[in-house]
Amino acid sequence: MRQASVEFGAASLGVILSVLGILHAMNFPRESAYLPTAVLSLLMLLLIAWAVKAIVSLRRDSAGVLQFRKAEIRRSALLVTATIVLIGVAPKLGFATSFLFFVPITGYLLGYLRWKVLFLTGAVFASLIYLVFMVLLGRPLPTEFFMRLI
Amino acid sequence: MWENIISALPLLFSVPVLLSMVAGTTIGVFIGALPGLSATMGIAVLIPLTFSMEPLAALGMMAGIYNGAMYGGAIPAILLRIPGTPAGIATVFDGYPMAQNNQGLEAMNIALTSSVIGGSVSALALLLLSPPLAAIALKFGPVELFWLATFGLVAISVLLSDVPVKGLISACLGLIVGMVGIDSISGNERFTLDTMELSGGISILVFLTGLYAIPPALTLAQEAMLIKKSSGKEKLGRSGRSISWTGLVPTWCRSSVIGVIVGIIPGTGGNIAAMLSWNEARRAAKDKSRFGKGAPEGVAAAECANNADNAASLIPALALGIPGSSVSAVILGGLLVHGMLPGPALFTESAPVTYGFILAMLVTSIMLLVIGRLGARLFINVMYMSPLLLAPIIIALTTVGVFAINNSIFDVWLMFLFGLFGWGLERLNVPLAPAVLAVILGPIAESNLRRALLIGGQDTGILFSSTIAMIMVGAIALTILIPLIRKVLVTFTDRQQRRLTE
Repeated sequence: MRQASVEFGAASLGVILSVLGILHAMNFPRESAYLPTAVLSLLMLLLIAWAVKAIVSLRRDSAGVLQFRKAEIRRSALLVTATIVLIGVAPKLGFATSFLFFVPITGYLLGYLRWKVLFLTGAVFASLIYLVFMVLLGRPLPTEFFMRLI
Repeated sequence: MWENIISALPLLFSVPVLLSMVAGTTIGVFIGALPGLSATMGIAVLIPLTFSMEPLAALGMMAGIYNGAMYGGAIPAILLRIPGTPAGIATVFDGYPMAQNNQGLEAMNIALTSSVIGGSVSALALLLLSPPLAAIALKFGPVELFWLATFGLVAISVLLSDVPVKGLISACLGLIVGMVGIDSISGNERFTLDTMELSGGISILVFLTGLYAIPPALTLAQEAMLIKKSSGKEKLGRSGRSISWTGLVPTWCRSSVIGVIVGIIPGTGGNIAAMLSWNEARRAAKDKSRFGKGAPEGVAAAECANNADNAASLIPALALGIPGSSVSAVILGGLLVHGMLPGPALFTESAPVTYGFILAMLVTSIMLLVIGRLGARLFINVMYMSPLLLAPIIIALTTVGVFAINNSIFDVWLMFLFGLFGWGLERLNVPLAPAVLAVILGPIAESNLRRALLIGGQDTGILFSSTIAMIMVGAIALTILIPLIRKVLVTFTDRQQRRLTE
């Protein structure tokens, strides 16, 4: 995929969003509206300039290429998905308990295959998090699942 | 100044602050030794963890990470030819050939000593130069403060990016993020989308952690650059040749000065300081052919200059509130988290902690000598840690750190969204530092602009009423025009050359 095509898409989307933002900011009371409107207008102009620059690069055929290998996309998508699951689950299970599973399972799915190291890292990391946040810093994190069982 | 230094000393040498400095320096070297991770990321990940610490303990830890990471970058640069941080690129030139000549340990010792010297000189420069600069800035009124904040923002946006438009887009995005929440002057809500959680604004911590911690984790997982265990270790062995330490003194003097000067200039950074310094060391040498083939002066010049850049880059950040690099922007974010408003007021309202932080930059530089020597073998092993294991650990640490600030899962989602957004921006070569800086400087600029207009009876003429203001307007115009002038000059020179060859 050519970088300029992606840049043109991103800039165009940005222009649409900044126009919507300007319309939204114009509804703020007067004294609170002028700076957001000014900044969003400037942003819109800059994004138009970026889009034009991308079109020029495409026309001149001087645009670079964004190269992604399948495995790279797979690993990135996997980490993003795992993080979404983690953020959804951690407040319910507790952070240390969630990390006990998150670190080894995500590491394995990403391609690290040494199970012993994975579980040891997960266990040490989860214990450290519990010690630092709950014991040392005394932060009121959600109760850990294993604590509820005791 | 001396009273403030003396009052900061007991705070600095208290057990919690000392421990946090040791921990910060050690963590910093670990981070620097891991290719793909930077001091900026390390500080961004650890700021949420320091949230409930005493301000000086937290800042001491940040100082340690900053100094430690800059040296840590030399370890893979010397042994593997992979700079751990961008500032380690020039270290590769002579460090790796030294390692190939069986002088790996000597190269690491030179890198360590040079880092300590550069870091210490830089911290002294910070201690001596920032208070007088802040004293001048304290005399500024709202008009000058508005232009100063605008200048800082424009300078970073234009200078940090190859394409100034992209830097300015990043700054505008940051300004909008900084406007979210209740307007502090009129009390009106802006961009809150009727969400309770956004009415208090977006925490700088959530924003900078998202932007600086998530993208490196995703990149680590994506690229999965695996380093074969034990590769590079065979290059450690001593050759038996002794290092001529006295011969390195002129290099250290020259490189410290270069590092400090480059550090003060916004938008430059340790890599430029190291490159310039290496070049100068080669220019000054009698036998230039040794450079690039394992000259100890080459390693000393690069490492001394990139560490001399560290504290110096904080001079405009602390005294004027204008950070010259992404890492100093993150440190300013750290100051804000602990209730310290960046700018000249740091030297009056929070003097003991500010001076304590400056001294912590000096103390952690010296600590590096001991920690670097004792942990050399351990730090070398860190390089081999798999990025596939490191990526989920960074994500986990960031998640729990951000949650712990306000016990808010909304903040975590927001941080993750900013992270994905930042990752996308990085792919498109849009710099992230202007956005972070805009979140810090935006509210300062806005409040001073409104205050100035209030004083001037809503007449915009007040913005151009003082000489300092006019100088700053000129500086802003010049900064914006620099890339254009450069482009015109390049085109003109090209045409001239073409004509000559024809």
